[in-house]
Amino acid sequence: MKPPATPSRSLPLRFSGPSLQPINPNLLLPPPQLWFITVTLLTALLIDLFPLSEALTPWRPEIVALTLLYWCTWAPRFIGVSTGFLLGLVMDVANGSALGQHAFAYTLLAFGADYFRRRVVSFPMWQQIVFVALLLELCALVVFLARMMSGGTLFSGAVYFIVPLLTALLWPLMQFLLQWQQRRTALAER
Amino acid sequence: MIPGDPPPYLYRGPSILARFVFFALLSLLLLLIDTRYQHLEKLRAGIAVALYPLQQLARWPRIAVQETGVYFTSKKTLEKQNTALSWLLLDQGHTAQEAQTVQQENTRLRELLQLKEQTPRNSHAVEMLYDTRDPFVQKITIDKGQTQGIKESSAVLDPYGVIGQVTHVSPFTSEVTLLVEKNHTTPVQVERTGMRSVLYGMGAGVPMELRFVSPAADVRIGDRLVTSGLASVYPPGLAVATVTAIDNDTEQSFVHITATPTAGVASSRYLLVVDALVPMPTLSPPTEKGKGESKSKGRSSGNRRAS
Repeated sequence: MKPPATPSRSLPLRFSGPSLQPINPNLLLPPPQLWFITVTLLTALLIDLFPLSEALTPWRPEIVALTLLYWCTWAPRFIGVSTGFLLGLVMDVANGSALGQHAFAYTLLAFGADYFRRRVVSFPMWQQIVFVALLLELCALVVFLARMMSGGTLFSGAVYFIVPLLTALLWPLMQFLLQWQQRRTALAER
Repeated sequence: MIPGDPPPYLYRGPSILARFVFFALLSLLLLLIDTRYQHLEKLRAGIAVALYPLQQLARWPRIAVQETGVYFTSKKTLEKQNTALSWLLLDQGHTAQEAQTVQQENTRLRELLQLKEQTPRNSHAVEMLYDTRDPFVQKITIDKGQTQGIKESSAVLDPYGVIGQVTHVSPFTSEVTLLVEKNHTTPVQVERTGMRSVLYGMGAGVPMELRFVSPAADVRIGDRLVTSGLASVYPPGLAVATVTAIDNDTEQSFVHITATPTAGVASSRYLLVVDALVPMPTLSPPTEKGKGESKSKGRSSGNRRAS
């Protein structure tokens, strides 16, 4: 007998009813290791420090924030609010901005990620992206407000609030890259 | 259970909310101290030192691209460039010789008039590490710092004029605030008339403003503004900006004058740092020279960080 066309296509991967599969297969991966987390955070910082031309600089994606967000979600044992704070301080010095702006923003980011992580990992990818975008926008807004209060700087244009959205689109790629070590360990164990 | 989550019966330290509140308050405190009192130079310098290896590493790709670019430059281009530079050298050599004579003459005249002798200033050739990275702050980072003798509040020049002022010095790098940074002030005078005023930065892409000029003052469009040398932060006579517009609104007590910087702000890679001369307070005894110096620096520079 010929089964109907639509269910057979969607059955193996997506099951519309209650499923026995874990919602996010990433949950089955072995835990990430500290050395890998450190290396990725340093690499993110390095990528952020690459000198770009003047026209491209405003479009630089917030790689450091994204990496921090990822590890706050997936390795809360190692990475949390305190790491966010320290990374923020480093970013403040690198940018030459007043100390504490990014520190505050990244602290908030780490807290948001940690607080919602159990829910976020069960979201489908597009919802995760929306969540990441919201958090990054919140960060951008916080930095913006801190600037407005400390010294009446000019608004640099809409680019400033578009970049977090573009950064959030990198989330799936980030997830793929940052799971490298875990996938390798999983393969070795098998 | 999420991987990496410790079992709930273990003590996991203070709750996430408590940690968040602690670090959030700490960063707000830092922000307050840094913007209001500027007592965090040591912390900033420490982090800058830790960041230095990464910064150097991050420059490699760009250097590599440039090097390969130079390697494949055609002979013709190089010859053309070489000729142009030779002409420039000839032209400037002439001016430099003249300048030497004029300087000697100046010293002699000053002696005759019994004026205070002008102290020669040290200068350092530096390379720009970073353009402005932050959309809000007009600052660049240069590749020399305290160990190479860079001092805070020194003037930074490119071939066409002043581009800014050193605002933070860490052991290996320094931070330069550009003239156009909002609320950055530069003491200037109109070259043609010698009238002194203060030039305010208004932010990137916005012309600078010459303030406190009375409507009766003789200022024309196209006038060159040069450093006045007051406060001894900048050497006198360096090109700063050109007047582009004068709005003579009779209702206000001051004229609204806008000017654009002559130097290509944040576009030249090689820069010159000229040390600031800090006037010695006459009251303090010579043994406390260092102390008096650091005190007067903050006041005389008059360029508080605006961000």
